[in-house]
Amino acid sequence: MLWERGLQFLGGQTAAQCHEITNVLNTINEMVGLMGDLLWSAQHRAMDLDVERLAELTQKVSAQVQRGDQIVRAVNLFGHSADTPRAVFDLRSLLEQVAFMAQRPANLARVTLKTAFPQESISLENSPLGFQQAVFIALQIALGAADKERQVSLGYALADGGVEVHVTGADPLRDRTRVEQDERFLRHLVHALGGRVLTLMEPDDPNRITLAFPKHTGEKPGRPLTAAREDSNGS
Amino acid sequence: MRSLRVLIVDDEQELVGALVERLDMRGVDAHGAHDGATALEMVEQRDFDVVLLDLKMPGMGGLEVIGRMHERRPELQIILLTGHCDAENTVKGKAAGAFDCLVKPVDIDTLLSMLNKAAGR
Repeated sequence: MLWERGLQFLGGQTAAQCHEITNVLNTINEMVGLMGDLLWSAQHRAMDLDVERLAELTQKVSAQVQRGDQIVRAVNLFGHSADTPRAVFDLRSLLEQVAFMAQRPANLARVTLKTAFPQESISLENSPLGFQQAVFIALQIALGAADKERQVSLGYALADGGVEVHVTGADPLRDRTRVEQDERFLRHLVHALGGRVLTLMEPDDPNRITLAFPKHTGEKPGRPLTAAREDSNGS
Repeated sequence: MRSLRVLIVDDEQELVGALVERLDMRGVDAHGAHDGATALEMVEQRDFDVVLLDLKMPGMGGLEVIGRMHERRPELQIILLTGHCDAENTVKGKAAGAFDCLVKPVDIDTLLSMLNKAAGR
């Protein structure tokens, strides 16, 4: 089950980010089309060329290209997190990656997703893909129903021998049946990663989810996970 | 003949802005909205011939918007705009009451043709 759910996570997130790239391309397509229309009107309808408008559009296209590039880099990094079952990674960088990928589901749920990271980071040795999946599931549980605008925050704190990852702002009114389904798998996954679910929307703290992970799982350390690693084909 | 009146609904604001301007240049009376709730308000306030509607938006998704729009304006033609018009999306969209489905990115001439077809022109 862990392996299948891991594959589903890898495939699902890759597809979701590809959808975001389609949105970027669609926007670029329309803005470049508009630039073409303005040029055509100036040539064929003796209209003055709106130079300022064209300049503004070129800047907007450039901004969309940068947005698309960010998404592609994130997909590349995410894809490479499945290279090895265990690796050393920087916690802050990995959580920033998860937060980036969770922005669109958060937007769809009308939730403002913020990160609240301390200055100090830590290197963990674990499954980069499994770790991201665990934090992503915690965020999904917290996002809840899109019935009102809310804020969810992702953070972490260094603890003895490891780290605690916090998700605050969870929706206490979320359908408990769905939460329980996700909770069961999350506990199973976090346990497999050598960690524990410390709190999950408990009655005395209904807005909080806390996952605790060790610094390393005690297995043989893997290779360091490097950002934007090129594969053997150079792509 | 009066101008075709079109409402474009998508949470990609730059996309909506560019598309409204391009359709305006082609004689279409085009307006934009960035979420389902705003689109429903606009449909209440003005008569539109066709709505071009993104499938996935924050809050109310495209399929829910179709149902609510048709409660208010049963004659309104709605074209779904989506990243992939697979059989599932097309069937769901038409079952919800959409006229048809278009895949992003959309060619402007193809879009105009579809808008006119939906409006019965």
